[in-house]
Amino acid sequence: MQLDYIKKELYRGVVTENPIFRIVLGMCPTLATTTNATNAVGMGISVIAVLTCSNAVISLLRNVIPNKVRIPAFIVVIATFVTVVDLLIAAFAPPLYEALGIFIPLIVVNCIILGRAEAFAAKNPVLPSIVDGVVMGVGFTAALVLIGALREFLGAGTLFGHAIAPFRNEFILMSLAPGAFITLGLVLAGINHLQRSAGK
Amino acid sequence: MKSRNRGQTDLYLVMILTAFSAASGLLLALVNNLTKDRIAQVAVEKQKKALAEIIPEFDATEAETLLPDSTDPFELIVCRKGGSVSGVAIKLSSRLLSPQALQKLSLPPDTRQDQAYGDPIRLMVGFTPDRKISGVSVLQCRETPGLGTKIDTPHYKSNFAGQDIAAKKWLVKKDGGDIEQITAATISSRAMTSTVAKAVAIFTARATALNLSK
Amino acid sequence: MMSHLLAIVITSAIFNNVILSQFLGVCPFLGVSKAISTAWGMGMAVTFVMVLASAITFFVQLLLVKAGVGYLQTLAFILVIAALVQMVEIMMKKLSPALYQALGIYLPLITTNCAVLGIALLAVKKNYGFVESIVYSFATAAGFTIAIVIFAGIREQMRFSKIPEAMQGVPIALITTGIMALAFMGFAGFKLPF
Repeated sequence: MQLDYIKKELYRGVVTENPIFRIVLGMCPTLATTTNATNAVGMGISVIAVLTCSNAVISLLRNVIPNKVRIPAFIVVIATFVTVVDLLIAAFAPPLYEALGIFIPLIVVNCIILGRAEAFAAKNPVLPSIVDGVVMGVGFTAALVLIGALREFLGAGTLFGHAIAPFRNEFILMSLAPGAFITLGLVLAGINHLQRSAGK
Repeated sequence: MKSRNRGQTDLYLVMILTAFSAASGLLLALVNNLTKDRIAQVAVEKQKKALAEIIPEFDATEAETLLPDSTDPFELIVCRKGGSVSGVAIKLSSRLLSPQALQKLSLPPDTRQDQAYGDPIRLMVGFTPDRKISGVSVLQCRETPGLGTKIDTPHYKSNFAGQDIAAKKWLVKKDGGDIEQITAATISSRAMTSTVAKAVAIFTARATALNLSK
Repeated sequence: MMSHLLAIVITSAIFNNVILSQFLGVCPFLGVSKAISTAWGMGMAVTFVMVLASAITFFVQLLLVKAGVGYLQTLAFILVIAALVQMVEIMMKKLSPALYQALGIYLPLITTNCAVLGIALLAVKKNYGFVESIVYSFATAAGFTIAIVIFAGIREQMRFSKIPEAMQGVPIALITTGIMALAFMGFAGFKLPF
């Protein structure tokens, strides 16, 4: 039962309710931190950490937080965990810290986290909220890594830093701003198309 | 969400939020305490690594702050081995300096200042007592990936490393100097070159004070 | 000093456009740009909030540094911005119902907008003084407005185009933005004459 539940939840987070591809939230980090696959993973893991912890705490306190001030309360919780993650990355993963820059503190305004807090953690018990946080975070990470890998491969011919293109492959535009927008747009279009043909 | 309307005076709401903020503040103070030493250590190690990359041998260093700044201080680091000066490292960046700052560094007011494409390029330029550049370490480079980032390659740095400071014109070839520029990354090349040129000027101004030979 | 400020204006508004170069504020950019009038409204609202937020966070940062609690920056900034937007909304309702009609609905969207927090954080990172921060945030918001209005103009035209089903909505918007970003990249290499 447990395994089935987990599989079902993972499918929900990564496919049917993927925060980036289906709900289309959190565009900014998706565009900014996907210059290569490694940064994408780093960002994804940070978001999983923040999302899970904040979902857990908000769910724990859901009967204590008055309705009128729930948004500021959520923001305090989320900002706290973002700062914790920020400090931990600065201390233990300096290269990642430099690569992600201000996008680590910007996780606090990532609509996905506030969105899940509102939509799920505020209304559900702790354990399901934690699972929701994890699977949504994993879905986010999967999307980021997909885009990051594409941009890294096309832009620099490497994947996670290892050169894998058999020929010299440097379509630099992919590593730059326009490439980010275009790649995300094309991937979204691709997914829409797949969804439509699957739905038929 | 709880929504009893009776007990929800504004004071109650404010108190709840204050309690939240206090708890948050405490947790963060705790985590900060746990990590701040490590974070400081990371910075120190980064500096040591950069120095080791450009100064051949040293066992003692003295750092002097030339331009204080919270994020981007300019420093002059005298490295000694066995008591005598084995090298001098200058930590600086391509950020725009005011006329007062230039004066503080003993640089002429018309010093060429080329800025980087993105955030300032931060360098540590090493000099040996024989008035040669011993190396250039790139501490921060936020240039265009694949183009401007090529300034942080051994190939490009060889334009600077090992060169006698009097022997070269520290400008890119496009501007009449001796330094190559990277194709399609002229801005980054110019920024790095003019920053190295500033370092050379600072070193030259200080060399006599440091009693270096020649 | 003037030329330094002017350089900040041109660089922040155009060369390092907040959306097309720095990826901040993309969600409202995509969401509120279907018509030029709404785009203007959003631009104005963002300008208002961004400048105020930068002004206030400047002092907040001074306090944080003085108290030695720099690590509370994220928490303090976002709370200040959220409170600021709430207050602006309330004051606008009372003082200028007309303005509230025009801009009010955009305000809540701006709180969780990475652009406002992002610019507040960047101004601190770049060590800008008070005047520089104000100029920087104003110019950045101007850049946001320029980009979103141009984009809305394009989208209004796109209504008459035959767009493949899979591309409709966000995908084509993103690709259009990408092409705009490409165009703005043409400003790279501009050496300001001052």
